[in-house]
Amino acid sequence: MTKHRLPRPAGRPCATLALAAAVCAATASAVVPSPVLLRSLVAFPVLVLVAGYQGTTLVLGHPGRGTARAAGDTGVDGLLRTVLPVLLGLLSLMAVVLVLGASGIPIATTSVAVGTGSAALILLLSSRWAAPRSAWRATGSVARSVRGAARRAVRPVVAVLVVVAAVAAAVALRPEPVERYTQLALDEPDAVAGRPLSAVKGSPVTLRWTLRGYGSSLPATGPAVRVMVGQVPASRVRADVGPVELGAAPGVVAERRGTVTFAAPAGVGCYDVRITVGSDTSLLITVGLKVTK
Amino acid sequence: MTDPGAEARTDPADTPDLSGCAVGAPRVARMTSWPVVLAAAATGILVVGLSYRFSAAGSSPTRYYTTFWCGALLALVPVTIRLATGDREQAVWGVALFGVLTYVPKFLRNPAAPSYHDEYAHWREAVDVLASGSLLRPNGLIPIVQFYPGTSGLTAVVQRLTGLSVWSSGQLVLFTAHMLGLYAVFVLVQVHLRSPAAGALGAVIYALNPSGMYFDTQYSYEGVAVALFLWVLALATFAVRARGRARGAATALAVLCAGACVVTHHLTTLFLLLLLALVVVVVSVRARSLRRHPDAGRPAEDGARIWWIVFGSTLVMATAWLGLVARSTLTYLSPYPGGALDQLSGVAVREDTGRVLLAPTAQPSWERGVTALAPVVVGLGCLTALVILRRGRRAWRADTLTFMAYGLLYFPSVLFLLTPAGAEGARRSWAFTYLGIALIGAFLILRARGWAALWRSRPVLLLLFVVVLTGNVGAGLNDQYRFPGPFRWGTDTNSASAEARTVAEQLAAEAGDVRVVTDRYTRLQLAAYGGLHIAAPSAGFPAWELTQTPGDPDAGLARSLVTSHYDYLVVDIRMAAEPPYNGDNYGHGDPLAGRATPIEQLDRLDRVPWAKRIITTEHLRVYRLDLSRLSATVVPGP
Repeated sequence: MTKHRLPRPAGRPCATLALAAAVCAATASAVVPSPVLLRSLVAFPVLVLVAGYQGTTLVLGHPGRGTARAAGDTGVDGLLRTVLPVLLGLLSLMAVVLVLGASGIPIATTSVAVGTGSAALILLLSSRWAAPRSAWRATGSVARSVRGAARRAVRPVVAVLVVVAAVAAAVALRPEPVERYTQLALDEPDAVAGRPLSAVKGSPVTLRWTLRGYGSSLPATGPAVRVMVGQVPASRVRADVGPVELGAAPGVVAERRGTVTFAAPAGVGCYDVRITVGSDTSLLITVGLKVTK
Repeated sequence: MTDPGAEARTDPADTPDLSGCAVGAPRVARMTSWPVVLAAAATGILVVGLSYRFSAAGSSPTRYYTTFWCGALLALVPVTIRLATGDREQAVWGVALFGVLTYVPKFLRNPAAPSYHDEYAHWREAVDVLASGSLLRPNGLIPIVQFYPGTSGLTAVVQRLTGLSVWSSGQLVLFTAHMLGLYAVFVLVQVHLRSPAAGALGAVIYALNPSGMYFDTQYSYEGVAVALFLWVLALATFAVRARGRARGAATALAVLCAGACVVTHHLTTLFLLLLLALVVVVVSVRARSLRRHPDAGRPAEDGARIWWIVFGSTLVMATAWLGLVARSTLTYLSPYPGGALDQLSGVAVREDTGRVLLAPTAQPSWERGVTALAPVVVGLGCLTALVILRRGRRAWRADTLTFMAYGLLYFPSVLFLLTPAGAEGARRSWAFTYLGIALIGAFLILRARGWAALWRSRPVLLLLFVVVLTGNVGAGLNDQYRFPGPFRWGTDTNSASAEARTVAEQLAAEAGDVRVVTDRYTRLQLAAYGGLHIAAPSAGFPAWELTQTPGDPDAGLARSLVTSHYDYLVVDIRMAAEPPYNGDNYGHGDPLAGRATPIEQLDRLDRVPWAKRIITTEHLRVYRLDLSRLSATVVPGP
């Protein structure tokens, strides 16, 4: 190595500081949190790969200092330096979550980001501490390393873009199946909880229901509502059907709320009430009614 | 990438060197230049996507199977040819592309949400970990998953750091694990055979294992654990042959990977322990023999201590984990080996206990034929390798030979496909035993350079590759798992519906974390999307009586349901339209196995006093049970 190519003595600490700053920025980016794309494509790889790369350096030693000889005649030093950062990054993530879980700290964005960032910083400092001083001097400048890495990365990046585009196109080739169905539910917590509704004999009973359309809207005309008490039609039935509204829940295209009021039977006892909404008899709900004096 | 100096060094006391055995001339033909390989890969991916479009639309199986294999072979053959040129500089990239291409078919199968049985369980586990902020959450679908937080923990961390959806985070974890696994084989085979070309070929052969393309790439703990399993062995192998600090550091890292494997998957840990025990015994015996009878022709066995450290540490960690955290693992696993052996012996004497291999399915006859042929091809290859190895076995290190011998367990495991209990275990073992097959295969291909006639006729080798790839994928999972399709009642994958999902979410929103009786297909949706606790029917708890018998449940079952707070019943009336594809609706013991449930038995639930339909869609009905009213009197009318 000729004299003019020797890096500045401060080159290595600068690289360490730059990496530490990158880790801190990535941690902050995850905590804030910044947009998903930024976190996924920049912050996450920085956190994982800095930890992984520094861990690899701890395991295999600094590159280019006769470490290939330490690998015996296996010839895998270069391959390990390429792959181990990813493995160690994965292991560092697992270590973080297991430590959080074991220590009772909630697995939340802040704790995970700080934990992962700390792991990366600890590995960075350990790697620097473990490195022989000669290794600092022997390493090329950061700028040269970055330029070299960028040059080597062009073809892989193009390959990744081509494959990702092909996968996206293949996903798009398959049309998303749309299921069209209607859901009818009672808005009566007592009925859901299994408690029978109770009413005084002959008094009006009102039940609320919701009809939700998935995959397609509901018919514009209001549905017919039928009520059977026991096995006979209820008397004095009055159905109030609300307008079709845009669905609020995920997947709901439209929903319609309504109530139905009918007279409780004159006889005391437990009755089954069957309510059908719309022409489709499958949209039926049943509820127990306890009639008292 | 690799250190040429290290490549050139040979140690007379080590295993035979295959580094000079380039598979072919490193000359790169135009047809296998990287732009062409990449273009073929991209086109192949698109064609695989097209095959899924055909299958989802309900096209004929011949059409979508043919399209799938056109796409898969178009993508995989050029990169394999490129790897087979022995271009060591490009091998790393070649294996990367091969890894991507073997992951893509499963990814395209269900890119946006879980679809396989185990995927629902692991997805729900990750969701619960994120929601609660703590690990070890109870799991309604696969209870043992609770005690192996590796996969769910990793998914949770990735989700928190990236902000991606839980499913996408899980896919990222699995994809990373899949790629890491292939590189572990690359390292392991390269170290054992001392040839980068062998390493790349080993990775390719390993990726051909029957579980490689669909089973181990599903979002489940196996996929992550298998990668860790492979890295334990790769790093220990490396440590045994390394010197100085690298030896200690690699040993420590192997132990770390073993620890990660222990907390990720029980069965993988078991296979790891078995293999390590085998290596430890063989290496120790040989080392002792060498000490007593020094032989200049044999390689030194100086790595026994490392194998002992890795084995001992793994054993201690696994025992501690089983004792302190995952005590129910042994109960969970114990029925399988005994049951499989019983059924295997039953197959020999009776005809009704086995499975019908290659039973009538949508799988075209040509793929079924190749599926039967693949183990024969692999077997002949192994036999040839054994004949070659027999002559010079003394020159090989003991761990290399042990790995190869371990690979031969693949062949008896194929027998267990004949038994219902053993089939699952056999399928799960291939990811481990195929490591040995990869080692043998890479050795054989490199040694085969001498058979000039065979080697010059590359189409023969290409044909063997296609047979093993096609046959092994065919042996892996069935049609419903491999291909998306229209709704089909009675399958884990194609019985899923948005209708069931929304019912699950609605019931959870209205009733909370409740206990539910339902069939085994709707169960997946209810547990995954609603977080509901689903009954596990059995002979002692025949919850199937609610729909599978024409009368009311007996008093004993009613009492069990009431005391266990199984207060809800969910019925998908499509179970009345056709018999379940998998044979039953409620698992082993279903009284209507093989038959559709009569619709009258489902409709009567609207008339019994102990069930009230509270949510309904065209196909799904949710009932609130009140079995204390089993004998209650309901007034027939006002």
